Amino acid sequence: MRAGLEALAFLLPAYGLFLLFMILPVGEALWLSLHQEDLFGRGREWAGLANYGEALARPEFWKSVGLTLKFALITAPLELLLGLVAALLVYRPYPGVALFRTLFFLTTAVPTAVAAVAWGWFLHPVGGYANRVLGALGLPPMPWLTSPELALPTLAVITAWAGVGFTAILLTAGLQNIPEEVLEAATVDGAGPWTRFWRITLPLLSPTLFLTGLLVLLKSLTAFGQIHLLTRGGPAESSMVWIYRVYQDAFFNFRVPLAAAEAFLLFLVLLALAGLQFWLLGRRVHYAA
Amino acid sequence: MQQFRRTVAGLVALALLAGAQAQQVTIEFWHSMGGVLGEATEALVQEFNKSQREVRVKSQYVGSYDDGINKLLAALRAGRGYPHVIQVYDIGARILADSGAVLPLEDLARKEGFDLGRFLAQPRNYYTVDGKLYGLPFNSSNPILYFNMAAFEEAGVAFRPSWSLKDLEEAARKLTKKDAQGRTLRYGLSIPIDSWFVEQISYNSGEYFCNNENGRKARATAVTFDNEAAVAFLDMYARLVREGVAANTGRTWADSQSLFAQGQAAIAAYSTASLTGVLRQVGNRFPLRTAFYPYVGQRNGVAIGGAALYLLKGFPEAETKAAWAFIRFLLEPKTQAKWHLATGYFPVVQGVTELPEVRQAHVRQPNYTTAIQQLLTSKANTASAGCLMGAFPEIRQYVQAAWEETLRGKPAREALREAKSRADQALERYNRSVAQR
Repeated sequence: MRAGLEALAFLLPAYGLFLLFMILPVGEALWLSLHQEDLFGRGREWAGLANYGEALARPEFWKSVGLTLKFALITAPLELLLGLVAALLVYRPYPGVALFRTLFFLTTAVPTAVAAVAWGWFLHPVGGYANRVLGALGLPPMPWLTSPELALPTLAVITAWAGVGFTAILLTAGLQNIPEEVLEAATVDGAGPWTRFWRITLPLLSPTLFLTGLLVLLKSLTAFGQIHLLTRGGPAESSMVWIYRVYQDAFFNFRVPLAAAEAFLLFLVLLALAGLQFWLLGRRVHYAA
Repeated sequence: MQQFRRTVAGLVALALLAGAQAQQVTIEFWHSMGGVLGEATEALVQEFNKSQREVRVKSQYVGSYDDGINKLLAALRAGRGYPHVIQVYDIGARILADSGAVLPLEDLARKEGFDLGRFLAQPRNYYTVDGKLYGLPFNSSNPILYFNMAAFEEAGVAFRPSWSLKDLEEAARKLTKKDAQGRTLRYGLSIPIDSWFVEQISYNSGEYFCNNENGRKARATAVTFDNEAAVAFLDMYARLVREGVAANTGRTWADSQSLFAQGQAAIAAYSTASLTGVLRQVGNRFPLRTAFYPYVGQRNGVAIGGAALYLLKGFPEAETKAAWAFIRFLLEPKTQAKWHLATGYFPVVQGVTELPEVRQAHVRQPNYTTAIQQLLTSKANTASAGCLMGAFPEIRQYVQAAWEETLRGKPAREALREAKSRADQALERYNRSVAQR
């Protein structure tokens, strides 16, 4: 009993901060999304689910949902694949491995803003390094971020690049947890590296892979900084993903209650994905026990 | 005794100090000037603080214009935490007047005996809402053309101070350089995808951007950006991009400016406020000249851009007086001259260009006179007063998206009509929301 109270006393500051900075704002956003007001916050009145109704009835909103899906479907698999390759290269110790581990993790250590500005230069439509390389190879320059067809995939690749370090760390841990004996036994039975990877490593890694995949998916649904700095939702709204639509509605269109409703809908999607993750995590713990 | 005296002297000194502190009024000033412009703004604030003891201005950079107005709106929503003076971009004029939170500058100027006739016509017209001047046109700019004169000479194109859109298109073609495979080595023209340039081509051709004569005769209820000048401008740009004559560098001004500064685009359009920065970037690479913004048909005149300073209501009398003292300082010809020369924004009161330091600077760098000449030769009418409407930040997004649609091959008229239906909805919603209260 005493120990419980003591523990609570130690947890209280953390709970307090969590309440103040996480729960309260979410509650406030929910409250706001159920009201109507003008852009100066005057004349606030109860609106029930009207904002949700309006959000769901807008074709722009569904376009944004579709773009978000497309963005996530490029980002998540790519980031997972790159992370897996990186993890396979560094999970076993060899001379100089620390250097490679650091290099892979570096992309995650670079702040989004810095990375976005650097990518902006790199992909400049005329003088950028990427297009100069293409030019030297005799290829035409690509409108990486200035064409409605290419902008979203380009942003997805940048996002995947920035997350490689993160996925590589999780997957390295997963790889290191695979019992050495199983792999040895397979080797003794005459399995080559290719067979060992497909038959032993990948199946045993799959729980980690799946959880990492969910985390990456969650992250890609809320990617904002790079989009804000590189395309601002353009060109022609081709990168106006869900979260950027929320930003646009709140801070350009000054429709805060509507934006709150759109944000809350996104929150529900994220919550469902997080719930799925916890459920899976629970199941995995049972296996181990 | 000695000890006692010393203590008393100390106490008296402290009391005097405290008295002086109590008399000094501190006012908050939020601005959105970064980089070169931010340095110049801070310099003015410091100069004001040093020039007298009664008022201390505490300035704060609050991020971009968009961030600034959002911080203001959030503070207004909360009912506290807003500054005495805030800088808000041109297109926020209608919104700030509708907020009911702003003290019209005109009322204060009349009370304090400041002659509003000292303002130049366009800046004053722009920030006049429902017959009253609301904001101080602090940093005023207009769009100008930037020319790489080395490219002009090489291509045999003659300089002119004023251009029709047709002539500009022809010049851009002549100035374009391609290699044997038809790849562009030097573009003829580069303009960032910014609604502002569509607005200005409308005004400069005598067209309105929104109805009720740019919202100057009555509140604007619909946009008119599908006008002939805007259609011609966007169609031309899309055509030139397809031909490899104009560059598409997206919405970021810096991406177009680096192209121009490296000599890879012969003509560009930016703000006058970009001049100091572009001159620095270009360095000695090529001689640079500036000219008036183009027009379709007959040249009418451009509207001003930039931002204005607003005084907010709800502060004690003494603080509002202190804020006015700061505004008054900014309107001094000497201050205006410093601001103009440090940034490229033009002076908004009369009698600044005659000052010796300004004249000398203009002889040294004549490009700084282009904006002023353009302003002085513009007709002052409701077209060049610029469009006044709510929801402008949102509507700009639709214009930019329409521009991008034209680059994808959609005819400008169609793209602008589609954008118009969204913009009209936004405007209608805005008008309804502010009328309801």
